[in-house]
Amino acid sequence: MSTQTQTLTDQLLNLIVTKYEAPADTTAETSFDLLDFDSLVLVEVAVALSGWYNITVSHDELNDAGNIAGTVALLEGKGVQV
Amino acid sequence: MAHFAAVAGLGSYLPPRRVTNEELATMFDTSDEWITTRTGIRARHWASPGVATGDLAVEAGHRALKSADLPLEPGAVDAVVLATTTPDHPCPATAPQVAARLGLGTVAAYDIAAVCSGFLYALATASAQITAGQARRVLVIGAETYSTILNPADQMTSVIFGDGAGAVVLSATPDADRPGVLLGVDLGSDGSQQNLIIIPGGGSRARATPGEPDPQDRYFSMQGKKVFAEAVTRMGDSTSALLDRIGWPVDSVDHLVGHQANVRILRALAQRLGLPEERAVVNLDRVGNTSAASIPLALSDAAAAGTLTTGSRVVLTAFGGGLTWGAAALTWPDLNAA
Repeated sequence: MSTQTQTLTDQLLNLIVTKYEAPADTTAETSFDLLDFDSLVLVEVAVALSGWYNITVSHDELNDAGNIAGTVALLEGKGVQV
Repeated sequence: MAHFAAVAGLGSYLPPRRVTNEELATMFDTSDEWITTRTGIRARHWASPGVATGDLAVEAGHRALKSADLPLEPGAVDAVVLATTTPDHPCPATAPQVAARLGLGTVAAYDIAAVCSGFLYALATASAQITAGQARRVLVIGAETYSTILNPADQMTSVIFGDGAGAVVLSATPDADRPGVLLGVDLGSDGSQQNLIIIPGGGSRARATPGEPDPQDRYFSMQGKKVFAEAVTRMGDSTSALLDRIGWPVDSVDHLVGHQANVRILRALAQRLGLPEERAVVNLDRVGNTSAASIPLALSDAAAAGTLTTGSRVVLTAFGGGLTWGAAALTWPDLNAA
């Protein structure tokens, strides 16, 4: 895993654990379906990521990405660099 | 002489029937916990059968005029502008009736249709009338009875929306530094996404035909998740553009009065702007989403609570169907909300 990918992964894991109450042992491969998020959390995460990285990402794309590893790949595909 | 438009009066009105989440839980497959965690709303007010938007607008308008020490008589204001999604009739506009019932004579009176952004659009239009020298004082009202257009089969919208009205009086002043002067307005729209918030029937796209219309076409519908994301983005960008234009650093804003749609939208908006969440004014827990009435109701609530103090920097921002959005800025005036 590149440094960029690792940093992005750490940022996103930190976001969903500290702000959206995902369990502390959540990993990049943990499915969003297992995180007991309510129906708005992925919308909120999509809005936050769009603002942070100055891109457009939707909750549907996060749903399809399925987990943090998928989300990192999605963001890198949109040109996000950290 | 140049004129500026300043807020000189503020009033609001809620219909007496208060509908709690617990009451809604007897009507829908929902609970207080579900509604509260997803929206922040605990109660809303619904107008009784027979009570229309114009009735609420008259009450709020009366109170705003009283707050501005203006009489209910011709000459008190030069125009009445009413923002609403729920006019008393498709034709004519509701504002002339409201002006007449308030005893304001034969003043200019018209409705503004910009859904939940309507009050800011009305404020912008009224302000422009004053700065153009067409009016000295304008009564600007946001009033809604969403309970009349909610689909009883749609739990999501039925638990969110409430009825109410709020109003301000804008008054001309030559003093650009007077508290209450509108320092700037930013408005925008994106009609390519009109289907996100829509009432399909009742307009020329669905021509009048003999027989009863399909009730489903007369109900309000909304794609909530897409609206959430658009609301945060559009209100955030509109507010940022306005602050840049008037030279206010973001952290100098004392109170952010955003459209009261969902407390999680307000939190995300504050986060996007880099403002502490506590600077976002919140009254939706008690009134729900009142669409065009939302901003003046929130202002009245915050003014009555002593949250808005004279000279504090206040930014208003709203988002609604259209899509439409906007932002406005002022320093808070010395007035008694009614």
